Amino acid sequence: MITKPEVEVVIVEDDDTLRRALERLLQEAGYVVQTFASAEDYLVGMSAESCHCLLLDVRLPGLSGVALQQRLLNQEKCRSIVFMTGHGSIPAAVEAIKKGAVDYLTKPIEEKDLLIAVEKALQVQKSTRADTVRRKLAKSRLNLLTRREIDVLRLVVAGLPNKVIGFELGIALPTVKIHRGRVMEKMEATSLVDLVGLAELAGLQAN
Amino acid sequence: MTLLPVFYSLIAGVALTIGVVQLIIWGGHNRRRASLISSGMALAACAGALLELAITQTSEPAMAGQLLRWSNLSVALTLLCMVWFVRAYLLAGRSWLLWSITVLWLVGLVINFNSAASLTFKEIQSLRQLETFWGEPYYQVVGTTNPLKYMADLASLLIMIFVVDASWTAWRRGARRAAATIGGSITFFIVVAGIHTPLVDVGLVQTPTIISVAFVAILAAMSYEIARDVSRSHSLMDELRVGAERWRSLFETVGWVVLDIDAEGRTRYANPFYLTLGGVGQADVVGRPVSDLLQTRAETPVFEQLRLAADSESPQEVRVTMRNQAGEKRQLALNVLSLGDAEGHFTGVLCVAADITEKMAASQKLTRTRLKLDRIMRSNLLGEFASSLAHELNQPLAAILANAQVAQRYLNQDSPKVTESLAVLHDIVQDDRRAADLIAQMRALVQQNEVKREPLDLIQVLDETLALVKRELENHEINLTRDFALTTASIMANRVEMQQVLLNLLLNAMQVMAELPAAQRKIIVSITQDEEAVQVAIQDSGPGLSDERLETVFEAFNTGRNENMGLGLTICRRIVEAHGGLIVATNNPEVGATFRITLPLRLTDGEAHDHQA
Repeated sequence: MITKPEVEVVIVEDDDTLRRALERLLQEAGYVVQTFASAEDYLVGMSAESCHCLLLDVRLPGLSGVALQQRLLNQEKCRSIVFMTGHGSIPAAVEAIKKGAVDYLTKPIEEKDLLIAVEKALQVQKSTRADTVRRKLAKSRLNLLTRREIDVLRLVVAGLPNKVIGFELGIALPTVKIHRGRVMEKMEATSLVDLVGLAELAGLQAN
Repeated sequence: MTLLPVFYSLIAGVALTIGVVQLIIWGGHNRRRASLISSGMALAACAGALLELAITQTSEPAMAGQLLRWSNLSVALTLLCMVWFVRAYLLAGRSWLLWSITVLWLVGLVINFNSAASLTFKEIQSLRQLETFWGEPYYQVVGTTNPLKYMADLASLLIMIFVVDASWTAWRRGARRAAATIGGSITFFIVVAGIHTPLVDVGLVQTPTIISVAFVAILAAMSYEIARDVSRSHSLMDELRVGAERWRSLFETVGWVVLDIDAEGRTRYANPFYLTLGGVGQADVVGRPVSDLLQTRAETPVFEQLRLAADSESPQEVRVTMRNQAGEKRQLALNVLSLGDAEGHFTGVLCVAADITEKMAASQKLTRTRLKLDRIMRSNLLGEFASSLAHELNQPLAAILANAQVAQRYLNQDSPKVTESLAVLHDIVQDDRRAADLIAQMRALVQQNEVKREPLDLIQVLDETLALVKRELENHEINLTRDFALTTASIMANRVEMQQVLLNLLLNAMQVMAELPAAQRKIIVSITQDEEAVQVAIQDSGPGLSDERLETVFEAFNTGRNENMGLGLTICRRIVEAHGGLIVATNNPEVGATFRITLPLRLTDGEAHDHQA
């Protein structure tokens, strides 16, 4: 079904020649590139599942780069953003980075800086994607647990010894042990540390 | 006792004296007709007195008849002089009465000299010798009364009416004393003589006729009036002399230029201040046309301007320049007064002028300083815009850098990508031009160029300006409606100045809407035209202007915002008005304000018409 290679870098920049130049540069550096002239075009043109590095101009006609970032953040997309701006102001850059942007490039952009930023963004995006996979996995495993097993897991993650867990839940120590073994099994945890990490990934509340 | 000759001679002497004195007064300086007439009356009265004396002394009826005839002539002349004097002196009296009296007497005189005896008697029968109450003998003519004599009595009645009427008119006009003296004395003595003489004639009263006495009494009253006038005119002249002296010394010491120009526009007088200023002498300027002395930049000749200013209802200042001997220019602000003689004929103009050269220089300096300030303020105003422009400039620079680096990669390969490189280089060239254009625009906006006007299409200028603020509009999320009723509007203007005005108005409109929710931020730019002018309206949806602001919005440093915008609209107005246009601010019926610029269309070469067609 997928005939095209997966897009790695997407450029959203309204200035025609700059957009073309950046496209050429990144293609020449070996990336699969797609370009858009506005944030609206980007939202329409990119499939929702696509994971890529987004090279985004801060000032865009219509929906601005910052507004687009906010929207993507709300949708939890696996996209890493590198901002481009005409006049880099520090507060704007800090704000963008805080919101998860990988880098903030000031035009004119040096080729070296651009390539470093894109590479970094791709890595961040890839690790984000890996995280996402693991999170999904952990969540699906968590769904296999019974209510009682989840109760036990919560107390285990809170660091309580089996005796206290039994006392807290009003069950016998051997029963606790059985539940705990099942949890380890279902979560496919190799150790207690692994279990705690998985529970956290799955978004289990400690208490 | 021979008192009669003494008495009549005395009367004649008094009359003669009055006559001579009046003649001298008339010949001296006043040349008033009244003086001449009263002199004539006095001389006639003098003759009358002597003739009356002769009649009392002659014993021959034929001789008495002749004397009576001449006496009647003297009476006639005296009376006629008297009525004409009243007319000339009081400037009153009815003309028809005056002429009736004159004609009656002339007819009477014709009769007097053509009848057998005289106007008084048809025939003289005898001479009666009588005695005065002090016993002096005298002769009196006895004869049959000429019925035509009543014509003279009618004339006397008309004289009474005329004098009373004239005096009454003069009295009402305010010349009360003259009316009372002259009218009163004439009336009184005519009544006395008019009663006495017939009584004597019919023999009821035994005295010689004393008409001449009455006349002399009237003359005395008249002379009194004239003498008063003369003495008053002397004191007036003294006053005038003092006044003239005062004026002259004022003219000569005052720090103003004073020029007296005659009706032909030639200089009559120039005061020392002028002469010092011009480095010339009185002789150099007197008689010279005023246009040699003063220059004007207007097309109307100087003298014409002065006359217009003098005639205008409201005080008008005429600005002129004069050159001194060294060729230096001085600026004068003239106040002009029209001069006329007693009859109201134009006799010239009097100019009083202040030397405003230094003041003008100071005000020019102020203007220059203000212009400089304008420029600074404008650059402040354009600060936001400039940063936007900087962004614009950064775009092509960024693209050029990226493209150049791409080209390096394309060419730095074993098999260089030449075709692709060419496309890249094309982009680079394009961006470079774009950057250069932007810089030129920026410079044009900030710098104050020589103001050159050229035929412009206002629509094009407007679109260019809209393109300049496109980004700002987008960033401020302002909805712009371009509502153009025309496709072209040819004006004669300076492109940069027009852009400044439009930009200023657009930025203002944007600023006043900053507080509004984005959905309500609207600017409507419309353009319309009629036969003579094109009108651009920039309508915002902001809070509008208060009544006070509506009035003062174009005044310098009068801003509703706490920003350095105090001169923006002032500059706009100055530019628009310099182009012969008009800028007004009004509130919209619903919301916001509208700024309207009206500029004259360029119609000189018919181009505008072609466009319209």
